[in-house]
Amino acid sequence: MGELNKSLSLEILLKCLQCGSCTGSCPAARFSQCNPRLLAYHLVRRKFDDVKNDNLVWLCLICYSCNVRCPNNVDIPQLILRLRENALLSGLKRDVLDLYLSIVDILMEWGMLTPVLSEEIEMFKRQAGIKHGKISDQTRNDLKTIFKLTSFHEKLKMFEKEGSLK
Amino acid sequence: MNVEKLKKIPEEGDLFLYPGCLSVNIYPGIETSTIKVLSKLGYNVYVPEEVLCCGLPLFLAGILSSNTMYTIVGRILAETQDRYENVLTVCNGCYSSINSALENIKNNGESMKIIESALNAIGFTFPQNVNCFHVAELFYKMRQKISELVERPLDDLRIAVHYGCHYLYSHQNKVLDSSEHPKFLDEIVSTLGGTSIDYEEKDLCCGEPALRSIRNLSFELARRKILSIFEEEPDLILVMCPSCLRAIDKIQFEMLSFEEIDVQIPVVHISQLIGLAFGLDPRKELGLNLHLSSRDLDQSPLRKILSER
Repeated sequence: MGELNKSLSLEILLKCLQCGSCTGSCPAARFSQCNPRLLAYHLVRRKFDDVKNDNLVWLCLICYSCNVRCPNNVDIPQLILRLRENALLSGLKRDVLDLYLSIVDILMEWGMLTPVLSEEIEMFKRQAGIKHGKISDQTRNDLKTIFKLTSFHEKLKMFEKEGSLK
Repeated sequence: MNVEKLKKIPEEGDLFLYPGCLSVNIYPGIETSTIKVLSKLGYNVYVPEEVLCCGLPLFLAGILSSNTMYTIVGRILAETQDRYENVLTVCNGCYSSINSALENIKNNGESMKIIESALNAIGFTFPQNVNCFHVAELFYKMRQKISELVERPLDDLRIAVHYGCHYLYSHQNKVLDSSEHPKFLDEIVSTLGGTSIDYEEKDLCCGEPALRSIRNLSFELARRKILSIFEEEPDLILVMCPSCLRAIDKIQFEMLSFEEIDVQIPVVHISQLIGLAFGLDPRKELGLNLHLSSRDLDQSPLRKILSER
């Protein structure tokens, strides 16, 4: 986590006023322990373990409400995304990882994140002349190449090695 | 009003329609209604044969990096092949990811090198002169022509409008009117003869973007939204995003099974709403019976306008 969190915290240290506009406008905060202001507070105080171990990072909806209302333009959604990526690479939140890796499998088969789920939908598509089905092998290979050349392959390998980067 | 953006939205000509995942495999009526409505408005609509997900849900979970997502978006946009300048989406998520990818061209040198070389490796380049609009924005611009084509006015229909966070907040400076007080969907409703009603939780997120491993958070958000909408007893709920549609559609089914509500209010996409007003077939052309909230159209509040024909 070292280098990453150093840069993240610096950004927060320079800009976050701890005014709480973010948490005040956060829809997830109304129904859960999600609290972007507290997350920023932990990062400022370099309490990385508090960030890693609680749910602040995972309850966020990435709806960008906080970003729009922050008087100082702190990009909390981007911060959360980097923390999520980092935690997954560290082998934390295996349940989230497994769930989303299974969605990557659907992507590789269909090109989309969801298959056709009912006969009724299949029939509607047929009658309406909607042709989009599973992607061709060519497109699947394109996706694989994209994954390889944008470092997603390496990342997948790191995901596989559970916890090795901690 | 974002006059500059409004000016750029084409009033005729060729459009590249990118349908996205959910409007193909869960709510295909969104794709068919969008194509029919755009054709009635006089556009030539091109839809790519293969649909590739923009990758946004995987990016939001921390699985895909922005570079991977932007490259996938580049692969999608490359299908415009210099023939289509205007890309339309029907989904707030796709709108957000495509616009982020387009902004990235201007901002980030190092990132673009990676994206370009990955695209070149599969024989594509990132198109430089593409605009991406949400179909609802185009409908707003075309509201005069839309009003002339109404065959089945939505008279007496009271409609609860939901805009969606990824449209309003992810690119605040690109919102058609105002991210805090948007009005353009409500105005389209009036154009069609309906009445947009106010409700307390109009700004509340639908809950769908929550990680799929914490469904109870999605449930609580969507439930609060529905309870607030139900207080006003509208006939219809209008969205501009298939993802919001899914959240608001599904939650009612769940609440019904818990006996928390005893009727469902149909949730429709803006393209389907205009399709209804244009007199299109609610089942065969709009696929409204594929929504959990309007499976039985004859029993739904929509019968008010459907039976008159």
